[in-house]
Amino acid sequence: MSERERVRRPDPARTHPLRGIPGVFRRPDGTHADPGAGDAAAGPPPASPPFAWPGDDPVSRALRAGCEVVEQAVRRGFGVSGDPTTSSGWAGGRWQAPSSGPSSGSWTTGQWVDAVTGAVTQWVQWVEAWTSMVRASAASAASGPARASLASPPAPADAPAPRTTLQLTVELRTARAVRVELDLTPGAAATFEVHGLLGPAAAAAPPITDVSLTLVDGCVNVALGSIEQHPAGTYAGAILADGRACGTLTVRLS
Amino acid sequence: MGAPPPVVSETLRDYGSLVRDAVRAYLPPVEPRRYLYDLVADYPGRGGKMMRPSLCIAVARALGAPLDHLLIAAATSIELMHNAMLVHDDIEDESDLRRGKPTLHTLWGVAMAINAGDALVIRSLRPLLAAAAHTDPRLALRIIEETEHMARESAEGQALELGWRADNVVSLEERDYFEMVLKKTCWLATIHPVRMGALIAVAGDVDPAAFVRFGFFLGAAFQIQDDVLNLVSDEAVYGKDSDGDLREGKRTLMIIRLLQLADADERARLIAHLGTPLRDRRGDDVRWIRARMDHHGCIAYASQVARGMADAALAEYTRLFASVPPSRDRAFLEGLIAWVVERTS
Repeated sequence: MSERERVRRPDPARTHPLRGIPGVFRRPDGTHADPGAGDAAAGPPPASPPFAWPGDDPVSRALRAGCEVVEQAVRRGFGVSGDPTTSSGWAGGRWQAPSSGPSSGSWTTGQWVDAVTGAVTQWVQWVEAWTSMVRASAASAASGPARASLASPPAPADAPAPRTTLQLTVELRTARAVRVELDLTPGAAATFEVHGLLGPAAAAAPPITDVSLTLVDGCVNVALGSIEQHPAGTYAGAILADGRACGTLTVRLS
Repeated sequence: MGAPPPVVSETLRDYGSLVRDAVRAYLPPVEPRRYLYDLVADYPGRGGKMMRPSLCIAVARALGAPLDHLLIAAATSIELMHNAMLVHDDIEDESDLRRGKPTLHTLWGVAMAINAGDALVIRSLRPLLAAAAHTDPRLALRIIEETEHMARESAEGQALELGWRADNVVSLEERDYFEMVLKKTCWLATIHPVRMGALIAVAGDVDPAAFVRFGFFLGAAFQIQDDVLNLVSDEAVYGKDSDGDLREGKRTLMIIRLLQLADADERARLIAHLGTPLRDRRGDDVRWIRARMDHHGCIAYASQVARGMADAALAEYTRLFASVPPSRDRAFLEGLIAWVVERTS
């Protein structure tokens, strides 16, 4: 086939595999089902439950109460959670925030977890924004390690106002286009382990082992190098602190 | 919501048999049998509905997962953990009957039953650890964390109920009940099995939170029906103490409703009963409470709420699984919703 006859299509807009449940549960019309429920990438869950009991009879009121309970639970997120012994606990039916946390007062569970979830979501957004900046910087340098200190980075335009000041440094010893996603449980310990980021099995890619994550004086530093020879794809690994999983680090190489 | 289709009982039978065999393999008759392993194998050997492991397998298979070692290991772990918690729950609730026979602590004493329950908890991790050696480490880690998360939620829910009874808390509303049921019942009974099945089916690339609503509504309907059966079912069929929840002072939906509807005298007598130590509670009071529940329509009310929860579970099921190809497993999941509120044992 000659170059003239070749059919060209634009690159797909998506930046990562759609293998999650929204992709699995595709509706007959081709749109994706919205399982909602705490996925930061999917946005907030529906404002109202998908069913309603409008009556004012006792049964309807009880059903609404049940619905509210699960909606609140979904809002505060039910992914794999951290260890409550490190930060907080139940007391008198309310969740006690840690003394070093955003409030020393007594928060309800929903308030506390909503705040934490919001912080994590924002953290990931910032990492992506900062990574773009660092990538541009690294590409222009073309050689030697690129390091960007990002004590006061601009938040994405559509990001909500930050609730707390977070500092993060991404260190890339490569000029390659990289997208880094960090999902880290707030309140995690200062010392992390990342045992290699596993790559796409189909490409028989070796894991990325030249990676580290540290937290010093409230500043998270992600260092990534030796990825020049790795095939393009998504590499991911668990972040451990004191032997416990406290998040994931995902690196996408173009 | 009509009668459950035959595929429900057939699937519970088939997957139940599969998991029972796997459970037996993890509970070999080794020494010390007399003081430990015979006790550990007691509850799993008594049967059971096998709803939890069947739910896990069915969700995974409906989403295209093969019935492989990892899926069977997850289902086996769930069943072992369920039995472990039953041993401890029976002690905490001072129950006399489990699956139609005396409870483990009644047979062997509290100390030995606690130890057997501890051993079962630890044993429940073994299938997961064995399967982890052949599984993507990230998925294996998520599965282990899911299990830890479920156990923690369950313990928190059980603590709520035990605390209410210890402090004789009577100012409860339906919302409190559902908060407790979400943690105490739904996590182990439905949310965890569904999430595990989904995680395995898509190799961990899923937000398992998407399944919380379905699991909650299904589990809440299951628990309310269980509470109703405790009051209306034949003990020989039900397999637990009839009116045992009233004797134990459990804060069921019916008790909460009765506390709302009772007049001042009734309420005072009910609160006094709930505040009396279990060993001193009188059978007359239990029968009186049961009669007042009938008078105020508390059981009918709870049955209606259970059916409403089942309707909500069906709506969530439709939302989640409508685009999944039809299969026996999908039919089972849909039929199970009717089964939880129509069952008699």
